[in-house]
Amino acid sequence: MKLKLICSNSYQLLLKEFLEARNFQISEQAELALVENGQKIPEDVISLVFNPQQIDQLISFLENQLGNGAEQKEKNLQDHLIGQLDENYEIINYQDIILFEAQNSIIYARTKAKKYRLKEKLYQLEEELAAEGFIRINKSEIVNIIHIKEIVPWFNGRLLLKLDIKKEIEVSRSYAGDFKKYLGL
Amino acid sequence: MEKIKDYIINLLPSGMVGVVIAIFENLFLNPNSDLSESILIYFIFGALIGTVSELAVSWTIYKTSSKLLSYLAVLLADGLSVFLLLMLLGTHQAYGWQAVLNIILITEILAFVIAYFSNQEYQNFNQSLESIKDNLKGRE
Repeated sequence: MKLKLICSNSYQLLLKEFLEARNFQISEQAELALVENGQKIPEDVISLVFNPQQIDQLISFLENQLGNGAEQKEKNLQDHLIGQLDENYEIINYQDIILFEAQNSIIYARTKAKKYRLKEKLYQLEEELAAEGFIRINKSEIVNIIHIKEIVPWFNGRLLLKLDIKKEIEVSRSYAGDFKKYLGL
Repeated sequence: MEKIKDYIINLLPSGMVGVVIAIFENLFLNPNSDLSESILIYFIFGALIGTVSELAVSWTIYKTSSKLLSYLAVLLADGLSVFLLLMLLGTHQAYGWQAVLNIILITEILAFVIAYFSNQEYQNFNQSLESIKDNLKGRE
């Protein structure tokens, strides 16, 4: 099926990749258009207008509508976030996220190769992703359990986490109790 | 400042074990002993053994992940630190070398016990970690 994209460059790449992976062809001759709010709505095609502030909801909506019926019924939870890298937006799968970190009131999601800026707050991520294996370890970091290589009991009730990207982070004393509880200890 | 606070917080419980031993000694073993002097000395010993043991085990596991090396490190670290403390206090002059050896022996036993429980904790943490990771990967 052919689809036209009318949006800013920041979202072009994200949506193009997403749609082409689902066998859509991006074309100016399409009869259906995805239009960013604020852009001119073409008169001769069917248009779906989206709000860029809620791009993640658009992606979820499209996934549910465009995916294989049987597969999508099982996929009740969203399994990705939308992150900003320079001026572009990309989909980040939960399993690729190693940790979330807060720096100067900005929240970043770190994968093996990249560091994305997110619009979510740390407390929101903590609440929403607890079931996905993400756990808060100190005031400014949430780690993905899957990417922890080793836990070392550290001095004075703290824990040192060795991650699989050759990085080490510390579970602070105040969060060590909850962390141990999460591990069932 | 945070690190100093951490050390102090860690010294206290270990030192308090020494205080309890001093009180026990005064009540049941040697009522004529100078309680305040005993409390001070035992506090220092307790704090030293506890802190040095924890540091030695944590650091060795962090660097090598080896159980054997962590035992060796804690025995060496505690033995050496207690020996130096005893020399500083003049124990060998007051009570002889046998007393020094006995105290070091007790220290090494305590250090071994601390290392054992630290290694158990390390093992439990990582076994639980692997179990949770398997469950999460299984869901995918």
